[in-house]
Amino acid sequence: MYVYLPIALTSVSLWLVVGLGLLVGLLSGLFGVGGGFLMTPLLMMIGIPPTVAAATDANQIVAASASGTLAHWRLGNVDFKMGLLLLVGGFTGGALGVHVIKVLRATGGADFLIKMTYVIMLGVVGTFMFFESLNALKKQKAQASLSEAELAAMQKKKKAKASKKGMLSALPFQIHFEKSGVTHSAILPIGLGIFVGVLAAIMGVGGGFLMVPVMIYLLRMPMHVVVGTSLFQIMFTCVEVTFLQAYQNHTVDIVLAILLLAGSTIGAQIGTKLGKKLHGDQLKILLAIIVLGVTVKMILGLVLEPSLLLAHGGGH
Amino acid sequence: MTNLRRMILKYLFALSFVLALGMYASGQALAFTCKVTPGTIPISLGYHGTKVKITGEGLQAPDLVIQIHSPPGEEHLKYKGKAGGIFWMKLGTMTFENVPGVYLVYSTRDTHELLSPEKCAELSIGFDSLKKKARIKSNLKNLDREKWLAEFMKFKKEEHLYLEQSGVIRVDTASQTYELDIDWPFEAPPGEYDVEAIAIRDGQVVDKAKAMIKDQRVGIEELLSHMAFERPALYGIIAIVVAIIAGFGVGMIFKGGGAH
Repeated sequence: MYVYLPIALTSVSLWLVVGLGLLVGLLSGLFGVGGGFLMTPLLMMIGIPPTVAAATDANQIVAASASGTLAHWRLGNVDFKMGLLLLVGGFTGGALGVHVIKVLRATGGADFLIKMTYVIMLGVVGTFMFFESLNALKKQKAQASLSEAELAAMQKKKKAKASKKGMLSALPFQIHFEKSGVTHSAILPIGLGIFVGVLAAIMGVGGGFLMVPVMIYLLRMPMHVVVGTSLFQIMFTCVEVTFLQAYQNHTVDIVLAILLLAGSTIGAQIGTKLGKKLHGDQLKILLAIIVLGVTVKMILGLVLEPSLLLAHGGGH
Repeated sequence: MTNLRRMILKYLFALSFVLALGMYASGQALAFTCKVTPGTIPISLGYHGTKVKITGEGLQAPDLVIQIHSPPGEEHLKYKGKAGGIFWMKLGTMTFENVPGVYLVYSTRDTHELLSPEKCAELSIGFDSLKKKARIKSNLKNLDREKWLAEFMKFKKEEHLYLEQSGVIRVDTASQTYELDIDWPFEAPPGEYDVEAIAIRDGQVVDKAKAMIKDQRVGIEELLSHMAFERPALYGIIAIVVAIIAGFGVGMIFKGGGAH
């Protein structure tokens, strides 16, 4: 069964597109990422023009993240306070990033910067998450064999370490985030939001795969709250991107988006439920493997000679 | 009664004149024609390309070339190359001028066997003649025209928008008719396409006939496309609202499934 896409101007298999949506929605629910870094290349592989693939992906992520946010909100996993601050930073950073790309496109070399940022960021984030989670899993096994007294001593040490936040605690506008159980200056999430926003705009993605590690490792938020909060923030970012792409570039294909979101919204729900059954570190390792897989694929694409030396404009 | 007789005689005279004219015409050669069925291809929601039949009569030659093309225009593409001698990536823009977006050529035999290269170029038949007329604009230094034109053909063939096929037209010399069945590619964008049938004998063009294929969006396809370009703000808002409703809707449904 085929469906003709009015903006992409191509015909696609209905089940294939719904299947892609389901797969990416599953990842979205599991890890709190929008899946843009996966979906856009997959759509391009099935013949969707790059500009339409990127814009429509943002549209379907609105649905997947809305579905995921609702599911996580019900589970009490959304830190709205933190999400809003990250969002303020993300919007500012996004606008800055778009401007950087505009300047670079005028001077040339934008494509090189985009590709390199992609490979380096994905590679660094993936590798770091992989080894960090692996160490955490090893520690858990070791802890299981320790006596109660030894465990209590270790936890005491950990608490003492955590209370030493140094420079960060000296920053003004300290806020306690009840849901996440952490206290930070409002400047920190806004600043990190700007950083991720700039990178996301350069790379042309929602930035979930960057925001998740930032929340885990820099904001020290618990994994279950990270996923819900990330989805909440992604939903708003993608609403903005969808509108701008539809209004300025006419590249949002609503038929393609509906097919994708039919799969992704269901996938996100299944992913959320599946996520509850998996341990936080297992989730992180899985996400790290996927991120590293995409990095390897990108490196191969950069090094091996392509079969076609001409391509449509846009995309990654 | 006399009037009635006169009227009958008049009718009989007119009838015999028409019959005589018909008999004269049948003795003469039929006009060379080209007909496309369906002439208009509706692009609806379930569209995945379609079968198109091209037929004609009055063919007084053993060979035939049928070419379908959109008007010549510009194609803006990105060219890939090695950045820093290591990484393959899009390095810049390449514009191909005076090339059709869609170009499908069908013939009874290989066009090189039917016509000389000069004749092909003169009549704009085949890929070689298209290459000769195409122009390339790019910021690429030392541009290898032949290489990039070959890449362009490869790219368009990969998209199913360029095709050269021989031995596919069925010619019946006794009835002077011909028939061609083609799979119209869904990749062809909406628009009007010229269909040209060229009758060839002994390396010379003996007759030509023309027709047209119209590829147009209908129903919801037309509505959405119109809205996306004419009312983009509304289109964007609808896209967002649909996504949010779908997301929350599925979320509500799954609530019953025991999300807690």
